[in-house]
Amino acid sequence: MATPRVRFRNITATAPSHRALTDVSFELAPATIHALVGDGGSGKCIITDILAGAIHPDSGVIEINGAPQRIRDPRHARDLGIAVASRGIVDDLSIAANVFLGHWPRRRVTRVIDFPRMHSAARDALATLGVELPVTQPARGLPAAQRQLVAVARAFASGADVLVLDEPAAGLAPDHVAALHRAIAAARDRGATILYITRRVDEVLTLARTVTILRAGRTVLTAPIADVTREQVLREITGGPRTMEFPKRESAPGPPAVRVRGLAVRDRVHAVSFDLRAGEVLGLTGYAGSGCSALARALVGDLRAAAGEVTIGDATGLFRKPRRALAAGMMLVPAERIRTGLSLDRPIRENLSLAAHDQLPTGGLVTRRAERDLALRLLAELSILSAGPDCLAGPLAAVDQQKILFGRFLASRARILILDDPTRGLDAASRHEIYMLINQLVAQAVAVLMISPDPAELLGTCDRIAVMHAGCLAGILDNTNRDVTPTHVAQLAQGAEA
Amino acid sequence: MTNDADHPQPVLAAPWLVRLPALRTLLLLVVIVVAMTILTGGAFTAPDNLVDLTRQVSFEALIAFGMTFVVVTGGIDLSVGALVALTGVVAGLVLRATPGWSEPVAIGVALACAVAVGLAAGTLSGGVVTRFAAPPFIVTLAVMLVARGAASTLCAAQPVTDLPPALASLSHGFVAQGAFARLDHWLAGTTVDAESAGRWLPVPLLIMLIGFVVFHVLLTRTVFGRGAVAVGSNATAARLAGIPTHRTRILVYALTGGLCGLVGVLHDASGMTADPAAGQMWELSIIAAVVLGGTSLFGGRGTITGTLFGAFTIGALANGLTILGAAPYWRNVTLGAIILAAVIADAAQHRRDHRWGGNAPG
Repeated sequence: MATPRVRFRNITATAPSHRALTDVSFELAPATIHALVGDGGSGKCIITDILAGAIHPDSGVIEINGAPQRIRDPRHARDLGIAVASRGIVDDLSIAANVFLGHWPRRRVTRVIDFPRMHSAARDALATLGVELPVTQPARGLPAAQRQLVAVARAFASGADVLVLDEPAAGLAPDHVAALHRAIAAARDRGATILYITRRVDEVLTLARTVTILRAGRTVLTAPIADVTREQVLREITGGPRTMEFPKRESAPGPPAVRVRGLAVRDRVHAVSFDLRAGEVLGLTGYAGSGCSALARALVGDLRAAAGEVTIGDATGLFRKPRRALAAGMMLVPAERIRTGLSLDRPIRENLSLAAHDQLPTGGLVTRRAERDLALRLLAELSILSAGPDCLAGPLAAVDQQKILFGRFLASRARILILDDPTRGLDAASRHEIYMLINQLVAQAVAVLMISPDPAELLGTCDRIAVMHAGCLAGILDNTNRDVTPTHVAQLAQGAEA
Repeated sequence: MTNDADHPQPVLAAPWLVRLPALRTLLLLVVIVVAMTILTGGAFTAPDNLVDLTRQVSFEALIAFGMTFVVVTGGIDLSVGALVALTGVVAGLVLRATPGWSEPVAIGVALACAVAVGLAAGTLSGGVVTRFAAPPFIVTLAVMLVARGAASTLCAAQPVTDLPPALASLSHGFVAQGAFARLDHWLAGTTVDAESAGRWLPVPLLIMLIGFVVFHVLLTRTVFGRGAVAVGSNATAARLAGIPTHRTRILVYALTGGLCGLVGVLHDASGMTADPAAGQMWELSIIAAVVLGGTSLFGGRGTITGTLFGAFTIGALANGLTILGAAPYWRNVTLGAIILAAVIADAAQHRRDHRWGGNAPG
């Protein structure tokens, strides 16, 4: 067998997020596709960071072409022929300049940037991925899925022969996934070595030659894909048979808690109407750019709605600010917990009471005692693992951070909860905890609107599933008996008639 | 007056001095006071000097309390020095325009006008910062130029003099000539003499201490203060949690402007003249006091206690250097060095507090 292009030997490392790798070993054979699968929190990102030179292992050896190497920094990684498809997109540079970020093609004599060559090369690189983008335009405003493709194109165009792709297909429509996979296979045929990192096993079963499974920072299995079954891989990822991934719940939907009629956001959402009932979970899904998140933000007034009506109780109208929606009893828990949900550098108690200042029994003043009482009650109710209400929110585990936001909702006494991808980045056990929590809320007749890019999650948790396509509501599927299939959802998401 | 109330349990494995910035500032203050006392051979702690020192510190500390709110929301206000001049001139002109009025009434009206002008200027800054999402640095720089220019225009660049004598007591007066002093002397077993009875609590210091209590409670115990902290720590999270983020931002600038109005009148009283050149460079020592007090320029972290200590530290340093006969530029060099050190400490703390930012999938 040929010398491995890259080899991890007994690597132990710690990331700033306190996640760790322990004694990780695997090797990438030249000109093959190697799948690295594992749940969120299994340590995939640390491997990416090590290969990019952003994190240095505490112990162990990395061999490049058989020679031990210390990858000093991202520039050194590139010199070694390693390209990591990072999502850092510079909004103000053109798409083409982003594809060639840092190594723009230059004219021979004057050494100024050769724009025509850069533009055509960028167009070609993106065309192999099956997309056509206005490469001379600034990257600002590109939807997330296309940003991802730009990042992948950057890795492809870098000239490196080791390509590290972290969830390259996340949020892509099926035909784009197919084009992406064709491009990856073509790169392999040209001699590139590809590390394909994902948590979705089905993406790589037919594509990769070898699979390495990572669980809780350790490699639990490395084998040729031909030698393992899909079920075996899934079992190894979670470390046991998948028991009761989605907890059952008695659903008894009540009267509509929110009526939405003709809600529209300029260019993003077109005349969406639906009812959300008390005591039900309504799922909302669609491919990237279909407008789910925009719809949620417009509902609470975080995004300006162009038209429509939202009725809660007797009040009808549009909320202009999240504050108004909250006063009417509706709260949004956004997808990016860290960036838009939590104050990492503030104590847990302040994070919990943020939306409940008017609920504290101290007449307009926020006293530490009242706040701590509230926090202690919520920490217990949500079984959040922490050293107490005065700890900062930053060091908490991802699942506990998400629970803090549930706690904020409970403290506010709002009755309508909009969750945007509440299990993003959580492992299976943590997701289970979140589902339990949602069931708990529903049992108290809270109305939940849950957005998720993962149909399986919605099939397991929602009473009804609304599917968006290109800003329109493509249909609402009744899932009371948990009998909707992913195919139903996919058909609607692709724009087929219900 | 420790800072326990603000940081109850330092649960992270950071040294307590790092988690309690106000205490760190107090330590620095003590060191500087001791050093100055020794270096000046006691001249620094002479009663007359201390009264001068507290007067100057009180002016800047009052504005620094407002500045703490601005900085906690992640903003900055460069217009404060110019607003002291503008509001001072407005008050002076009002006083000169009301010669027939009883002095306390005239002073009250002048004070109200000065505060109103300060509030308006602050609201303008805050309004532009929020409405147009403009950088506060440039917005308040522009307001600074406008205010400084307006101050000179209003009084034709000539200091307004002939202010009513009663005004002086606002800056040079002392409270508790009676009760406190008598109590003090009764405890000491001496009798009251007029000289020492008059030397108890300078009026500006009293006003500043009242301001300290009010603003400390406002920042740590009220919905408004919590909102300001939340806006500075994570504005999106605050908005989604129903905090009126725009209103909060505008109010912190208005608050600071109003305080400039109050100090503008006190400053008139200290020199018995309304000078359009007053408050030069104050913005720098005020921001230095806030930063030195442990308030983060990144927003979301700050205490009024720290700012109080910071203001005293900078005042003591400037005053001591003057007594020592150091040229004024040495004061600036020292001030600059202190700001640099405080900013480096702040940035390091910010990195520590946000090291979990990479908690995303993976």
